[in-house]
Amino acid sequence: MELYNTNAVNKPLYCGRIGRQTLTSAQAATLDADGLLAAVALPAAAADYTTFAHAMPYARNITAVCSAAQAGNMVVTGTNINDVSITETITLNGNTPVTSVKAFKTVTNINLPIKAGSETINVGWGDKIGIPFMLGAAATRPIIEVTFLGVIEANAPTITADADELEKNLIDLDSALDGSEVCIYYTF
Amino acid sequence: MGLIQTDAVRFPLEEVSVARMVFTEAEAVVGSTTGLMAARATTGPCHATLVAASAETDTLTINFVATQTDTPVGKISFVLDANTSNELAVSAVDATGVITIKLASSTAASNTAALIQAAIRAVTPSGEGGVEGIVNGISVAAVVCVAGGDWDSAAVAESTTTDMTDVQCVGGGGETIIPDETVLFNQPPCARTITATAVGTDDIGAVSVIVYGTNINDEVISETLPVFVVNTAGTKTGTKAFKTITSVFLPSHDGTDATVSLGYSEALGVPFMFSKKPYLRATLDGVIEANAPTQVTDSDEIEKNTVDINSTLNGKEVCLYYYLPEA
Repeated sequence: MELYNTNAVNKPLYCGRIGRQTLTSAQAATLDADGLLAAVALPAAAADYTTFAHAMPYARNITAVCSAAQAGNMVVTGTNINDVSITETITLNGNTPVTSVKAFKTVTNINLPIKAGSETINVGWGDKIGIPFMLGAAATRPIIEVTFLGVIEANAPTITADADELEKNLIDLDSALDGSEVCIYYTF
Repeated sequence: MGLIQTDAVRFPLEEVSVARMVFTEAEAVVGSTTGLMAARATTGPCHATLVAASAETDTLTINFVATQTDTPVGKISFVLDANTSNELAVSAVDATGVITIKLASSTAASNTAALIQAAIRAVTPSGEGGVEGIVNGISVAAVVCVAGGDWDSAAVAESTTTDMTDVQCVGGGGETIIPDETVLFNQPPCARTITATAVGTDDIGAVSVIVYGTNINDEVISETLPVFVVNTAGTKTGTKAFKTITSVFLPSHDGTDATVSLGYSEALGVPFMFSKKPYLRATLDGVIEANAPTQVTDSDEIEKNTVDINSTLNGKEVCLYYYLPEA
């Protein structure tokens, strides 16, 4: 690792490095609660859905909400930011929105549970962004800062970390995504 | 471009570098509306005075603001005459800049300053391509006519003792100020955007100061500052950061009571042409600013790239830290 000389010749500093993860305007699109499935009637028997309204804009978390009571499991299959296949089972909670803990870069299949009545479901993506690091304890992480349309966020983003599942490492900006370019800076 | 490997082997990050720009204490002084030039009286408007036959004191003064694009002295003149009919008639010739005012022959109430003002503002010069309100390339759409003596109640013909066949405009051309030749004229402490402050409420015209100088890269630039609001004291700020000023054009105003001072704002010129805002942190006297600076970017005019830190400059060192992709 490169060193930086100080006034104490026996105490050089490590030179830091800064990496930038950039989300284009399209990738930083506003959350879309029905971006994948819009008001789809829950099936008479658990069923797979492979055709979606839109592709995921980026590695983002998944959101789902039903129009009425429903407590079954929805299984999402796709890939993470590293193009590795992943799945997540999300327990639905009627008309209360639920979210995934994983960031999906792509969604290839959604298995919906059997209907409880005549309810429908919206499935889309949220504001949380997948990052390409498996972060450990807070003290070991890089400094993470975010610019939103070129302006450093006044309030720090919320980081969700997982040391061994890449797709569970998420960042949630203080601002809501709205199609403005986002840059995430990691200082090591 | 350098890459940084991540835990996602297919998703390396773009490596960026830190660049620091330092503004010394002398450069980081607080913005000042009089930092370049103290308040200076400006010239009054162009004007011409017409005299009626009723008395030498029955006058009509026609004023209009000369902006920097106008060259009115000798370019517009007036002819005062009596009409053969009892109607006011105003006409103009584009090529010569002559505006002819023919007074209603017997009814002075048809020749008031207000009526003549309206007629001049609406005149369309003869000749191909004549445009309403513009004579010889000079706007007369905002002329102001002021009656003197008993003009409004007595004027029906031109003076018989003062020649009213070719009354030239005088004054109002504005002036060019050159720092080396003008007392109280300083240079900006570093590349800064320029301010012009007008005072003298009733005499402020809708005119602009023009600044000439160089940018942070020592290239020649100029800027026409935003237009003052008529009869409204205030400060207008440019968008370009001037490292030096070689001259300034002060336009004429509505009257001689208007003054203009020149200064510099808090916006600091920076040596980049950004197509979009980069990551930027600032320190003031070694303390990181809690709120990010305000950046203005422009991808092809370096002088339009500026930074205004959240705190007010106070003569303490300012450092800007950019995160930039490797060249």
